[in-house]
Amino acid sequence: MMQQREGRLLCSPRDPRREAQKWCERYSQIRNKSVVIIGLGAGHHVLEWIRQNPQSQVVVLEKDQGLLDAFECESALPQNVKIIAMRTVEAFIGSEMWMNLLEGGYHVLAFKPAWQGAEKFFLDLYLGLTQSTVTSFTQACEHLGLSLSKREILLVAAQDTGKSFSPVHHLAELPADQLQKASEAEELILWKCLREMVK
Amino acid sequence: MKILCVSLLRFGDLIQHLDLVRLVKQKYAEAEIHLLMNDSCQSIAPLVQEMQPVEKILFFPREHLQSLLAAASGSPVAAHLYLKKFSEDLRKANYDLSYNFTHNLLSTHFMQLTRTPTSPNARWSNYIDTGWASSESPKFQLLDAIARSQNLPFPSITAPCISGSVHDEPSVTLGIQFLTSDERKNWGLENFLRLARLLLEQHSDLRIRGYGSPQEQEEITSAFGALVEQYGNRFQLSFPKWAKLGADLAQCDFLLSGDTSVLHLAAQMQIPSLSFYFIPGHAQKFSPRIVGARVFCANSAHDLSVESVMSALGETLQIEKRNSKEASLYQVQSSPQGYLRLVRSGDEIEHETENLITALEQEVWQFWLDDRLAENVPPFATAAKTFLQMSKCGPSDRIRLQEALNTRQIQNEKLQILIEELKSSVAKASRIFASPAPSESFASEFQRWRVALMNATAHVDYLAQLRHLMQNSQLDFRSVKQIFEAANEVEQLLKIESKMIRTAINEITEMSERSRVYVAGTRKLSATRPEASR
Repeated sequence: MMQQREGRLLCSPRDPRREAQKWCERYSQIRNKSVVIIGLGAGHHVLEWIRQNPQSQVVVLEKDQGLLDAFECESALPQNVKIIAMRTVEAFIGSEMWMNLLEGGYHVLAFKPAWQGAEKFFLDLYLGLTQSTVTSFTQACEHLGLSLSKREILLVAAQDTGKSFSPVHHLAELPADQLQKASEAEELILWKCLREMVK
Repeated sequence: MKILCVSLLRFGDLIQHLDLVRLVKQKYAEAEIHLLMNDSCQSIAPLVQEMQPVEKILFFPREHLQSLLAAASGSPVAAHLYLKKFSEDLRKANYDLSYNFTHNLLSTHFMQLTRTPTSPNARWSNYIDTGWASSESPKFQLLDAIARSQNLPFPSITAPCISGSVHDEPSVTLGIQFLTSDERKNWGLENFLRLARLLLEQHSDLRIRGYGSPQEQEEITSAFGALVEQYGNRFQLSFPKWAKLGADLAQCDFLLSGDTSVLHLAAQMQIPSLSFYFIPGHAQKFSPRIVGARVFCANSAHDLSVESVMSALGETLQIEKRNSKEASLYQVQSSPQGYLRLVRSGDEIEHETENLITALEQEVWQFWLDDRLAENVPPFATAAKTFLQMSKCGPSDRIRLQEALNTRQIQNEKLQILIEELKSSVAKASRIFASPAPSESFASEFQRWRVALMNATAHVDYLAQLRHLMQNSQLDFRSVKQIFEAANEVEQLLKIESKMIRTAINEITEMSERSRVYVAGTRKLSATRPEASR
């Protein structure tokens, strides 16, 4: 199975299975956890992931319904795998499914060969779930009704020296009175708990 | 009634905390008890249920949250929501009461989220917060302090299983745990190798089981491979997972270890032990809770020689005793009040004095922390008096106690002179300074000083601290007035304490007099008995 998008192959033309194995090895530390895989492509990596992690709950997010249909025709998927096709990222961020994935503590795995021809779509999807930039983090906070204002997030970002945005330490340092609502003290305690875990 | 017990540390701590769960169970016999522990301890849940059955075990998703926070594939918002949902679920369970045995920031914050009622003892909790953070050695074993901080009684200290009763074989099996996860706590594989070789050479009826975690297998096997080959079934290595370690340790009559988690498990199984601690204060904090356990305290692994360990093992394994000079050897005992006490081994006078001072200090602290005193009364003399009544206190102990009280009295007199000086200088200063309010930093420092003063036991020069405070603060009229008031307060406290010290000394003197009269009287009596004259 060699799937393409706009004439570009969505997996290795030489050895897609080896490519899938190597990709799975990168995530060996999150074995059997719940994961969201961004990009279906030809699906070799999805099958390999299930083979290596039979207890993992898997949600695959894809842009093309055609790819999904082709994959489902060829492969019998176990119950713990769900593949979802979506047209726009905007409708997904803030949706109930997005919320469920975050609340369920899913890890987000990017299979970049399957992003060919739709890089921006998949990148936005990835950031929407990992919040590794200030913008995506701010958006997520707005959608979730977290009391942090954009100004506070920018202040936190200014203190952050990590490669990608990792705000836990700094958010936990925010004085309660700087939060928008006093009732959100619980939110601050949650950040403090999380800070203790990454110290 | 539903009670939540929280233990969010590692294996060794969790095993120890089971003693506290037992106390809760005793206190609320009808209650349904749930135990919250880290998901990393999931593998030992069956062992936990076996050692201390509870109605339900819950897992705090620490590893999962950490992976969400640390891995590129995770998300801080997902971690936030996941933890929020977890704490909400716990809240919905409507616990009537909770006991947090963990005493770290994470668990404190988390307990706030669960909003379950707690039953803390503020003094003991503060004592753990301050005493355990400082480098100074705390006066109590951590489990004792945690129990009291939760208003539970001191947990019992296990009695050891008599050597040889573990199995029917005539030989003695010594278990040795070689490594710990902290490099500073390791004695070194080369020392263990030398020790094992000497023991096996000198004792034909001795067997050794060497332990390590599965991850340490390669390192340990390469260090001890030759010994395994040479001694066959007399020297065996074992690398069980934590869940299976208990069953394996059951084959041992005695354990030698620097790893506290294994020591705590062995103590629960009544296996006597010899342990070593190379970090100051750790022996008192983390000693195994088994009566008679022997504990080496040294400043570093280099200070503990193979010969010293051989000597300490002597009694159990009938090895010739040699004097240990580098490290200090202690023994675990249960105090009359039930908390763990480390007693220095040996009959030298300085060891006895050290033991007396330790016992007295523990008395003082327990007295104070349990809030058994009227407010504002310095506890030293009162505790000394209680110590005199409650312990088996011999004549030599009484003499040393009297000396300690005399020293305290001299300190008090010196302090009183200093207070006089301070008060006169403050009185002068009060005429000079006239600004309206004390600076914020002064106010907070002064408050800290005041709290320290109220918690004072002995050996702290509070006036020196106060002088330092005066020199380093921008004094104003109100501050000076506060200092003046504090000095008055100290003076009052010293007067009360001095009076109590005098009473205690009089009682000790009287007691000593009585025993002298008794001894002299008996002799006189026997000399004049009619039978004796016949």
